[in-house]
Amino acid sequence: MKKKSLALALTLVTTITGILAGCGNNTSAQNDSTTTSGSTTTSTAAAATTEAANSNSGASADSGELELADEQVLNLTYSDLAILDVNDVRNSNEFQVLSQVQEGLFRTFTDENGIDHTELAGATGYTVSDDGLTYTFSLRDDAKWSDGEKVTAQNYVDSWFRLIDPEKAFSYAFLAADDIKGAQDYYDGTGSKEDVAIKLIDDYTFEVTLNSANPSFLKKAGMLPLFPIRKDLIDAAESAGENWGNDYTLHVFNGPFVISDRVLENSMTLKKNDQYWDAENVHLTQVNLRVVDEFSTQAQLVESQQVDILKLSDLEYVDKWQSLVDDGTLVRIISTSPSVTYISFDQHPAGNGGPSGLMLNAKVRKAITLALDREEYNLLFRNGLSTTAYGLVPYGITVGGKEYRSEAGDILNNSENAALASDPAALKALFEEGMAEAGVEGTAEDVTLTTINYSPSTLDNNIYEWYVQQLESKLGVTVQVETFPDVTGWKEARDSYQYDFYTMGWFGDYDDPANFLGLFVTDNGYARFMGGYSNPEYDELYNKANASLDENERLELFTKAENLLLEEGGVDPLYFDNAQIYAQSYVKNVSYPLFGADFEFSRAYIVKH
Amino acid sequence: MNILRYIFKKLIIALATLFVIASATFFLLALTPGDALSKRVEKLPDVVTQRLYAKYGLDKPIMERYFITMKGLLKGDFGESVIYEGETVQQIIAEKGPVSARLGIQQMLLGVTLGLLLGVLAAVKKGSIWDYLVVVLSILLISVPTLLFALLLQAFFAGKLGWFPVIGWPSSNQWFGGWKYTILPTFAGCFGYIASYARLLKVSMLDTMNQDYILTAESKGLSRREVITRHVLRNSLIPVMTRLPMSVAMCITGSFFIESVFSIPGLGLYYVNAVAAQDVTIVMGETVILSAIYIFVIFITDILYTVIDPRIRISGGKR
Amino acid sequence: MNRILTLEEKAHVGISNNADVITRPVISYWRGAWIRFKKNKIAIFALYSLILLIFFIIFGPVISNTNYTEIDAANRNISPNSVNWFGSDQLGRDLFSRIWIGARLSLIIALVCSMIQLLVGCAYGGIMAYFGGKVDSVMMRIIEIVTSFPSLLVTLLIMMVVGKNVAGLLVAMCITSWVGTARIVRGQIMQLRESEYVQASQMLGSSPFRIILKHLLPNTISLLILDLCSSIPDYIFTEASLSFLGMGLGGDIISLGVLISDGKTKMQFYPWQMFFPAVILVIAVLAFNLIGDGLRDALDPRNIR
Repeated sequence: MKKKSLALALTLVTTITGILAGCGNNTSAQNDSTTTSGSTTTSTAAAATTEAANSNSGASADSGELELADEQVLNLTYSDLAILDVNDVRNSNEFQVLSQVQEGLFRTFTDENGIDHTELAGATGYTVSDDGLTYTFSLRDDAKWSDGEKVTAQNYVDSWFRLIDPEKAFSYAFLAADDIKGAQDYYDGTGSKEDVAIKLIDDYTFEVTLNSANPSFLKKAGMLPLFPIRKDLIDAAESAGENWGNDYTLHVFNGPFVISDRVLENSMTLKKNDQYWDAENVHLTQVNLRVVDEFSTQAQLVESQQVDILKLSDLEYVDKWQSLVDDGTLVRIISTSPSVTYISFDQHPAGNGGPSGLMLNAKVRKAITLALDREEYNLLFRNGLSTTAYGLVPYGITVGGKEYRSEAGDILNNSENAALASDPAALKALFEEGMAEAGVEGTAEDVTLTTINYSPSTLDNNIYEWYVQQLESKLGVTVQVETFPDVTGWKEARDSYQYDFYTMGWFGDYDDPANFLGLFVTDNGYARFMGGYSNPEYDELYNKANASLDENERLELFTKAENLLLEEGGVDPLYFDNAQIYAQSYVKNVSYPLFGADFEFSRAYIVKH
Repeated sequence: MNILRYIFKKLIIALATLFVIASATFFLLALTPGDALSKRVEKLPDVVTQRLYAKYGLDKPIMERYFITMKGLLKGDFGESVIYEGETVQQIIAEKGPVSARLGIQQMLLGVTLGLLLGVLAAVKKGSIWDYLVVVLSILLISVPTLLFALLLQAFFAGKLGWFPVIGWPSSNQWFGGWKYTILPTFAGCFGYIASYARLLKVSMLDTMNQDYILTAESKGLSRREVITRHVLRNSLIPVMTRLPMSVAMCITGSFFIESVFSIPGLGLYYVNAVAAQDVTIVMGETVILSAIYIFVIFITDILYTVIDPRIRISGGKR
Repeated sequence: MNRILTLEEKAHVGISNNADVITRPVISYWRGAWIRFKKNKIAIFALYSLILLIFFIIFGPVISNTNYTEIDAANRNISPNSVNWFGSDQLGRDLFSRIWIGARLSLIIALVCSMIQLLVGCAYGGIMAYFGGKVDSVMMRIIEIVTSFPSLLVTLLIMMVVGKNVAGLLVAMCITSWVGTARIVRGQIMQLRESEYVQASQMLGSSPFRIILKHLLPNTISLLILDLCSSIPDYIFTEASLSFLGMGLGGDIISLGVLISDGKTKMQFYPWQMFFPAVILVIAVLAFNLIGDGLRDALDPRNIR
């Protein structure tokens, strides 16, 4: 049995990417040179994922010779879950663990090139009506919960209704509320539950109807907050006054693993779920998760092979571990994370252009945007390992199967903008032109820009010091950094518009440019994090793109909208993060999907080492 | 029945102290900007935010919350964690208390034993190189932050030499299993005890040695060894005994740094994280329970002394 | 309490028709203490180290003549060399200067906190001891409550309430620490009050204020000095610990704790970024502890024999 060939197991996994279109190129080769960003195609098109002698790609070639280790145990670090409730997830750590012990309609794996493939999991298929409004999902009838009960359509319907229950106030309610007919009204308390268009057809079929056609809905439907739940158990636990939210013994699981032990804020043990419908493809028998506070300790554990996969939070290890990668001990995986770090300018009408009174002017914002040297930022604060952002939407996000960023290009680094950025005098002239337009007299030297910060970390403070030096040296303005002792004071300053600009980061929740571009539509619910950009032309482009069923048209309209946004300095994107992941080379077949869990290890296995 | 009145009086004072501590903690927590939910609601729409606040009762005026909390405390119901839904203080203390207690007790036993040995050495060899060594060593040990010690011990003995596990804590047989996990954390945290007990015993022994009855014993022709073991040591241990209960009371609260470095599921780490996260119910509950334990130990020690040592008179105040 | 007995003996010697003469033996007591202290080689060594440290804290940044705030992308994380004696940090800033600037703040904070602790403690303990009775027992209850408070909790909460700045740190670190001093002062004064020479002075008609100033305080000073010597390292430690917890000083303020906790994350790669500030911290704490130990022996009247 131990010599079981993996080739067979692997070929059983059929991909259905054609229909789902949920594939994104999420891992890219980050070469040593950071100057390649000029050409849009080379940086990401061909994705070389892993650099190591025996990487995942090797598995398919020599799989006949790979021998499974006797112990199929995976060791990971994690931070503890605030809750075990799939509807109530809040942080990435909950996504990580719960997605491995529970299962929804789909499951996403990455192939040897780092491309996401979304596969049917709880669902056996789905149909979309011609008008793009009605989705019918059919479920597999052999899926079971760990207590032996079948997973039924009722479990999904219960979950979807519970997610938008106004009493519950779940963070991810928008996944259902945004699109499903009647859901937003029910969630807001203005409509009734009966009017929500989620319908049970039979034991293994259910149907939802959307407000308007939206191809990105399918990408949301497979996400963790929309996984099925066992309402009978929740109700029983709640009426018995038991702690369902955090007591794992009250939970049942329908995913590849079950939680078998947990010590609060310290450790968790997962065991293989024998009831899982695809159990024969699950090789790991146990997964140990540990909380380790110090990153240097986590690294030590990797070096002594006590932890198998680790995402770097200290980028210095890239150099240190290169030798371990070279000798085949570790495999390095560079995975795009769908996030962007950017600067928000105070463009709220109520803010009157911030303390300087200049931020409503597009030229001023553009001058600031271009004055910041993104390459130097990346080098100083990201060890040159992130991708310099010349657009808003990060790499990995797709439209109709095409990577949006590669198609839309490096807007802030086009020839015109690049020329401007390299000429401080021209930038200063642009800035002063903007001042005149805004009706502020004097030169740039008379201007004081205010920025707000609350982070206690030295790194963040260093970043603000860098802004000061960049802007003072290139534009001649004075920059004042207001440091708040805590986030509350900072929020007050933000909400009363006592800033000209500040830094923010945003994580995409699902694979679509709308996820980022939608934030800049006038009066978007998140406008307070985005600076409150508002332009009717932009709104029109965006709304048209979002409603379009033609993927090419969507791509084109989104690109136009993004160009407009950046040329007006509506936001100042700085960098796209790249997760630096290291895995022991004896761990095979782990996926690193773009959204949801950092590591999808349900099909991972350990080879003899 | 003087003793009963004394105990009763002390009990009333202890309860009043607990009440003040609970109130002060509550208002300090209420004064801190932000709350346990502020991070979570940061990106939520306002309606949802209001619902969440209502769910945890954080939308009520501060005085109303205060009365609700105090009423709960009276009934022993501290409420559930805002961060970890459904977790209660009792559960957390029951789960993590023994871990911190074992670590604390091991550190104390090791530290006090070593400290007393060094103390005897320094006192007996007063003025010699040994005396100097003990003094310098014990001061050196307390002059290096615990965190640095823990990191260094971990990097060297666990990382480089691989003698001990880098992190972890015995998961089964909580009190007597998995010694290899406990060795480094025990060492890292025992230096404070070594320094203070070595000094305490040395001073106390030197003091005793100068007493007349020791001089008498010596002049009677008893050997130095006999004088020291029979008379000096026995009498010098009294201040050590008075210090011990305090050390025991401190044990259970755990040490944040050591628990953090070695990933030990103890109370200290959890407590600090709860404060940082402003998990009001947990912080309130833990503070009250830990203070109660502390006050109780002091209370018991007080009573024991009045029983043991007749010089401490009950009626007329302290001393 | 042997210590007091000897003081009383001295008082017997010094007392004459005029109560003022009492001050004379006190001076000789100090002279004796200094002589005993000088004999303690370790303590003297520690004293010189401390003086050297203070010299660098004042003049260090001037000596190295480098700008410790300017970001220099070309000189990041360089190891110690002839220009940057202690190397540079992540943004290419000179560590040598930064460490002395940080040590300056850490030391000032520790000194200010100790002063606050002494003043509050003396006032509180003095009032308790002088008035006695009801006032004393009420004030004693307050002390008991403060002692039962988990001090780490109070410190963390105050930092959160007041803010992660120097003022917050001062309040947070002093709020419970004065209790020890108050107890010492109270105990000492209470015993002195019962002593014969103070009673004599009272009988001679001295005002209470004069008695406190002339007799009670000078006699508690040796205890206060010891208190000071042990509290300064405590404050340096607490400040550093709070930084480790991420609850210390924020913004661009540099202290030893901030530098060490920054360096800690880079320990594997640029060990000097943690090593140097940690060594300075240990030297400072060690020096104060050794001096304190030396003083304890020197000021202890039992050692006069």
